Amino acid sequence: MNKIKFFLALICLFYFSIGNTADLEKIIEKGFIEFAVYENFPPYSYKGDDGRVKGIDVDIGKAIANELGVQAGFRLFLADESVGDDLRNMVWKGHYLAGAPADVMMHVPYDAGFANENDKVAFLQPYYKELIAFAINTYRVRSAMNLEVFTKETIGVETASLADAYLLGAYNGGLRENVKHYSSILDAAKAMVDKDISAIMGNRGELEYTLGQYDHDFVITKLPTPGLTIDGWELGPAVNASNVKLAERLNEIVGELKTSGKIEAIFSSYGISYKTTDSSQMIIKANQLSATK
Amino acid sequence: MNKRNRACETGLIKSLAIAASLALIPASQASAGVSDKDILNDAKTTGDVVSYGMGTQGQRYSTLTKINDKNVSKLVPAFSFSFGGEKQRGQEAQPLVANGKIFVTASYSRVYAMDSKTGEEIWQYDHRLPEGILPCCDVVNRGGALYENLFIFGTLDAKLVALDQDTGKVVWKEKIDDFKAGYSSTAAPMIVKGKVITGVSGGEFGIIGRVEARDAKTGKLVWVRPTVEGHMGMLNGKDNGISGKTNATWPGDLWKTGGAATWAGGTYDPQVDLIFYGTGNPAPWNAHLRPGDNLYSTSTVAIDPDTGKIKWHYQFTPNDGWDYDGVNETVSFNSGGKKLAGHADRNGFFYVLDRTNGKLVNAFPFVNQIDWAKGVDLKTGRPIETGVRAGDPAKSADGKKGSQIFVAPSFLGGKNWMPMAYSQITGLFYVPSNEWGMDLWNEPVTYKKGAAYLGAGFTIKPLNDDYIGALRAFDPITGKKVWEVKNKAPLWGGVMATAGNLVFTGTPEGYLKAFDAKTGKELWKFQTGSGVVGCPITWEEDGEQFIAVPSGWGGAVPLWGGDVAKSVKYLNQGGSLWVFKLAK
Repeated sequence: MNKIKFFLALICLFYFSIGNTADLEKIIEKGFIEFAVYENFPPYSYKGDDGRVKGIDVDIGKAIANELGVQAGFRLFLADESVGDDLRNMVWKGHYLAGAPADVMMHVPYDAGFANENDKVAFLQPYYKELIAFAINTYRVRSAMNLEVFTKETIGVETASLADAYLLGAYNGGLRENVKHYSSILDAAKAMVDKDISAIMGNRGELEYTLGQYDHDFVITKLPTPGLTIDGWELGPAVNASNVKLAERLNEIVGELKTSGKIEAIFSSYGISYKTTDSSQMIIKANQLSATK
Repeated sequence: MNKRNRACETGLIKSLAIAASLALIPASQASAGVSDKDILNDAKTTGDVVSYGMGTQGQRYSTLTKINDKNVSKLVPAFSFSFGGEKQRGQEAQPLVANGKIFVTASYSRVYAMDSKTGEEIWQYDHRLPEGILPCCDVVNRGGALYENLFIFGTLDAKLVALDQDTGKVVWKEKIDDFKAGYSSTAAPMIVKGKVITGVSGGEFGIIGRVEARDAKTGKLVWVRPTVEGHMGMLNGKDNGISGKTNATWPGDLWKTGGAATWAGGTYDPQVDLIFYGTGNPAPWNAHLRPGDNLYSTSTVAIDPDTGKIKWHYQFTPNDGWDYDGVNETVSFNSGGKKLAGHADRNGFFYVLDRTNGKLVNAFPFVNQIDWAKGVDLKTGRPIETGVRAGDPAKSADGKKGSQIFVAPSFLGGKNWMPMAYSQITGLFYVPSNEWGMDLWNEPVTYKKGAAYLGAGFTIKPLNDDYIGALRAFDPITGKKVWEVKNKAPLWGGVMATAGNLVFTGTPEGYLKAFDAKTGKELWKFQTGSGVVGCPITWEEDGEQFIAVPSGWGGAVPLWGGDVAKSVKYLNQGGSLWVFKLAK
């Protein structure tokens, strides 16, 4: 009988030591929380010239850690083929080569449909809304009311982005010959400065940041995009859905950082116009809650 | 007991003798060295296996008959060698044998050299992988190449490493490309005329396939041949003409990011003096956005080994919309006085080409269901499409899941990377095939690197309840299926044929099996303890014939869920080399 109890206790110990690798108490006890952030992704997360990890997602992570009273660490990772893969690698399972997941992943889309497909993840309230935008070289294009101008003028995109897929198909392929592909918005921005292209379509935050480095006549604007099914999405942190206490506490902290204006201040320190979000509820599957009780 | 002691004794005496002889010659001459001639004769010489494909033509055929259909039932293990550590995953390599050593690569870019008769380790090399590397498609390695005193192999972080065969020490190391840009190297390199020939593996986004030749002794780049139209080739540091004609089969500047990765390696035929290299699918994945054939994606390209120029190409799936990579091997064989080549494509058709000019001679299905095409027009060489293609997500009005189609084969192919074999005696190809299809739909909104994206969704589905895999024997001239052996789990390992009327292949369930080459009757099997997804080889040493195969489940199949997972979920990973010989 005693033996059985002992084994049960052992099994329980084993279970909890695996199930709660990143739970709130442990993080506070260790005094350390690890954030996974995308590598080479200015202005959100990137290595500065001094080799230090910088960016908006990094500063928000530091602010969150500060509220928790712990140190923040950052793991830069390469994007996999989809955010679903990134969540598997960085939040709930880990990667067979990159090791165990981090405590939190930043810059995760907050979308009920997407959350439904990723039920091992708790999606905390978003801290930002990203928008699709156009950067236009006013030297080439005085004013653009719609995309028709790009039947004559060239427009740059990041390869395999939403803008890429959209423009190649828009106007029944009528713009296809004028879509120029770059490995990053940074490279597209350089091409626009060199007058190789007349415009760029991409994420507003990246456009504002990269073009903000140049003293040129660019305008960043919105154009009608018929047929584009999504032109903006909210972004927030995500944690393993089994760590309910951590999820709840971080969700509160993000809310406080939003209302206190700290997040907006971080964005403006990078020269990015801030678009807040209304959502304050985290998305977590009900069955996950019961499973951990 | 006595017997064992004696074996130890003779072993001791032998190694003392070797040590004595070693003392008399400089270390650099300790191995005889693998010459170009050895490599060209590999298919005929039975005492070694010095090339991937057991000969550069890739037939995987041995003339050895000591082990044959009469006595194969007496095949027993000679030794098993563990790759060790915690990295038990995906052993897809083909071993090599030369000068009394067996060389085998393992997952995570590891290499082992051992005594080919005893399995005793001589050295091992663990390539140090950089932090933060996330290879797209598992951590496999498919083998190395031998040249003179070197063992050359590619790594997950896209480097080419040449090791000393005697010591495992690095002799030279070259960067193929930037792993952070999605490049990797998993295929076995090939030696042609003193040059080491490699391709590139990697993710789908923005990379360009290419074939490269380096001086095998130094690693110095000799030529580069991009496999996407419009890109400039290189020979001895100078421009060497663009591949194809810019924008002939691609709209806009999409050729700049066109894909066509050369990730599965190549073959070489000295009779026509051409390298045959397969290419992957084109990018972007949505075929509606890139009207045109998108050359040279999903093709075999024939390259002159001296100049790096494309002599001919044959495209299997023009304007690919199903992710049917054309990387599978093109195997040279002669029949009826003709120089031919066989290729079993992902798309479900077996192609017979005239390898002097790339003209189509024959094409027939090697799987039971092909939905995307009715057949291949032998006059034009083009597929007769059925119109089963996924809809254009850009045209989805409501932002909901786009139209869904079901199409067979699945994108993992009627046959994947695992190489087939050709028997010179039966004149048959032995094709490791899989029967599965996929639901394919467009997702107007998914997410990639924190941003919305238009993606594709797919679910792989077995076509039959009782099996996915089927080893099949085909007559390439008539297209007739001579026999088949079904297997519950998908087949994922290489095949070998021998003159002993035998065909060998492994199964994910853990068996290495031997079949009658004429009838397909199972004659022998052995449970290796983990799934066999590597390539078997055979050689003769001191009058005995040996057979070796790596064991260790992994590779792409376990990464894809759906109904396929049911047939593989109880399989355990592993990492070892098994060597067999006849019981005395």
